[in-house]
Amino acid sequence: MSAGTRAELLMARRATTSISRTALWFALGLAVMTALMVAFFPSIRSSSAELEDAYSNLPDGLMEAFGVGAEFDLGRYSSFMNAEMLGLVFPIAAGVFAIMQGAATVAREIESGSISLWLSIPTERWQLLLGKIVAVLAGSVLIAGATAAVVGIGSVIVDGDVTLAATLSVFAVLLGYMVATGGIAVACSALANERGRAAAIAAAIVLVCYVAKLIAGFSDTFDWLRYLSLFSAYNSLSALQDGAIPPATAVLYGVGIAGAIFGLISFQRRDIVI
Amino acid sequence: MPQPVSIHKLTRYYGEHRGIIDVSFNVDEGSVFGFLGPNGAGKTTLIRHLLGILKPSSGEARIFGHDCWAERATVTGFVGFLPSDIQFQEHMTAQGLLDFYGQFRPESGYRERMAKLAERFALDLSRSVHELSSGNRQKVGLVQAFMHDAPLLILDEPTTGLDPLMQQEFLTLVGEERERGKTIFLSSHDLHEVDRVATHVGLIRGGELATVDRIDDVRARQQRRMEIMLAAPASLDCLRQLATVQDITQIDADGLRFELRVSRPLGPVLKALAGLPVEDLIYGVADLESVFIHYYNEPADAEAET
Repeated sequence: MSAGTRAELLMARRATTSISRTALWFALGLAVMTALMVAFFPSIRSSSAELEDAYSNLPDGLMEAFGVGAEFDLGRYSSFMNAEMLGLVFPIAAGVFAIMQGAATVAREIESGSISLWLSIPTERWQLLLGKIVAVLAGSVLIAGATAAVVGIGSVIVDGDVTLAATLSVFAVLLGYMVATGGIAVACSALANERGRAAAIAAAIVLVCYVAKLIAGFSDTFDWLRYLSLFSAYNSLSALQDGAIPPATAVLYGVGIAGAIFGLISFQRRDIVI
Repeated sequence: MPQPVSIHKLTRYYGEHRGIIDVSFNVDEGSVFGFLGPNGAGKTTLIRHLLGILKPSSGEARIFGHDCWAERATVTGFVGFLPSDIQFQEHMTAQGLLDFYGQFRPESGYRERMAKLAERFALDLSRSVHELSSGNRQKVGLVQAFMHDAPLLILDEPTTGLDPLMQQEFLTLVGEERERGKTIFLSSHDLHEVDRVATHVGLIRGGELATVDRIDDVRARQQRRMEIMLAAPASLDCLRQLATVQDITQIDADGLRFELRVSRPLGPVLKALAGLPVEDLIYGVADLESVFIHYYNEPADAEAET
């Protein structure tokens, strides 16, 4: 093993330990909430006709705002779980984790005054940061995995329509979303001196993406905004119902990887004025 | 072998503000280089260049021949570093934190040294670093810097927060490490601390290097304070005529006590004093303060140091 790889592994192990408690709580919280939704589903299924009538009077754009598409069918497990959990709650909660942890990678070291000691480790800066990115990724895998697993297990319990393939597919989509938001946050962190600022910029970018998709849903005039939004590539319902990873998911991973690479290069070259 | 530290025309601006300007000096192997300066003079800025944290506006800094900016990863492998105002982000014990930093240099055999240093500084390694007082955090930083057995130690304000006993222990350790052939770059604003261990001294002020010299040479040309007490009033003209005596000041109302600034050689002064009714005499120790204090007394331009 080269010294560089060893350094990355040491950094990744340390950073993973450091964020493990936070990741566990997020994973547990989302899993419990998903399990509650699973528990609600049988009663919702029995009264789905009345609820759908009520929903049918709402504008399409508003439905999309809550992660509910035109193909919404409350009596169907996949539709229900997407509407109640994966369409909005998961993006918010998992986004908070990915953004906060991604934003912390570099900026918190500077903000807390520990950057000088951290950078005295005899390895390249990008390798130190890569170790931290791996830790954020590991936390994201845990959170996305826990949520997807409860969706999949819940489907078996309530006789839903989500297959194993669909569970794995939706895991890939959920993780892709966390990779994208985390990657954006890492890029912001590599340029910032304060974690709060890095997180705020990353959150603003994600929010703008969300609003862009929302506006695109309200009016045909602004339909082009759909192509500027990360959320257009976040197709959790399609993954749940088709049992395959939607091709657009690659955009999420692409954005995340591009953000991480930008962060690595920026941090490697950065003149750190404290 | 290239010099441990070699700095050539190093200049750094923060926008229009001055950081350090045209700083050049070398640090010889096996020396203890005391880097002095008032707050805001540019000491930490220079050290951040040595660690490759800051990029020079012009000029260069090298450690063992390696460019500090372009070859950061190599450079830091030669260095045991203690930052000023040390902070730890990790929530772990002192042992865990030191192990983390030690594992990046497994060949250094850090574990044994870590245990010995912790014992020496009376540091409880089982405590969380976030529970430690500032003095104990400083001890963790010192153990971290010394445990790698690096050939060059860069220590920024190393005795901050340490009690007098631990300060003494630190100074003893520096002396021992020097005897083992280590080079030590010690930044401080504490003249006494540097005076006790340094072999060379550099002083930076307003971002510019004011002087670099061997500490023995500094002492040789310094003026030292002498206080004389006479048994009866007498003329001091015999002292005033000497080129090695400056600033004769009467310090009591009776004209019996005087303060003098005296430089070497001392013989003519003693000869003149022998002709006076001297009842008592105090001769100040050869300290750096008497040499450098005027740099500190002038207002420092602190705006540029970050």
